[in-house]
Amino acid sequence: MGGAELIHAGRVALAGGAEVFAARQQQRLFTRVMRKVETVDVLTPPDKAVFYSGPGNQAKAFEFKMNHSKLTIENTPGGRWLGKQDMYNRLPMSQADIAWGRLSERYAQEASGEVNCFVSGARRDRIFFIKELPALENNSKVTGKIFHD
Amino acid sequence: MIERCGGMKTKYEVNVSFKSVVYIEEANEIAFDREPGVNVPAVIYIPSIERWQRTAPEWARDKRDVIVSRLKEKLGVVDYVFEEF
Repeated sequence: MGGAELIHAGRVALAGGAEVFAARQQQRLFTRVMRKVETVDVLTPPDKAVFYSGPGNQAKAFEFKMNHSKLTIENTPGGRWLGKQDMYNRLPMSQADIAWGRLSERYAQEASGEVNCFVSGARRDRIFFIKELPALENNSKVTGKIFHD
Repeated sequence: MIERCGGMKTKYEVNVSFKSVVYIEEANEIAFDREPGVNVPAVIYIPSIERWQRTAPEWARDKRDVIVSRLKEKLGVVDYVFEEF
């Protein structure tokens, strides 16, 4: 092996090492975030929680919460904390979605009273239907669900 | 991301969060609903041409095609499904 080949082999090894290091860093971040997601505060006062999913529904939900003094997950301390972690720039999308999906599930588990849902046109295989709605249905503190168009 | 078009530089960026994707061009921005799942590509909802004309901010009204193509380029089509509504 000549000098140039040795240098090339060294560069390849370094690049591979950097990738492994980056992957390990991502895994550590994901593990740390998932641990924290289990304990951060996503509690809302009774009758305050708003849920949304699907086309055009964020704008409707946000207008509704502004006009009726309600809250979405983004307004809870836990939602603000996770938002600040900048997950979608630091982790693969699938891992960021897993973290947010779990936080959403906890948000639904801790809701109480009447909740408002803006999910018209939402897909059945998405976070609302597979995580949030089942959690709401198993939550005895939730006394009613209002579905808006 | 900086894109040169017609000799002018157009600066834009795309920020992803849990349930939205925001396209930012200089001081302007437009948000798109993002619907995440578990281990499936997220759906990005793009207003139809008619809806876009009605609801998009004025600066973006005639830029639907270019904004959508930039979103697709930036986000890729592996992790995302783009759906018109």
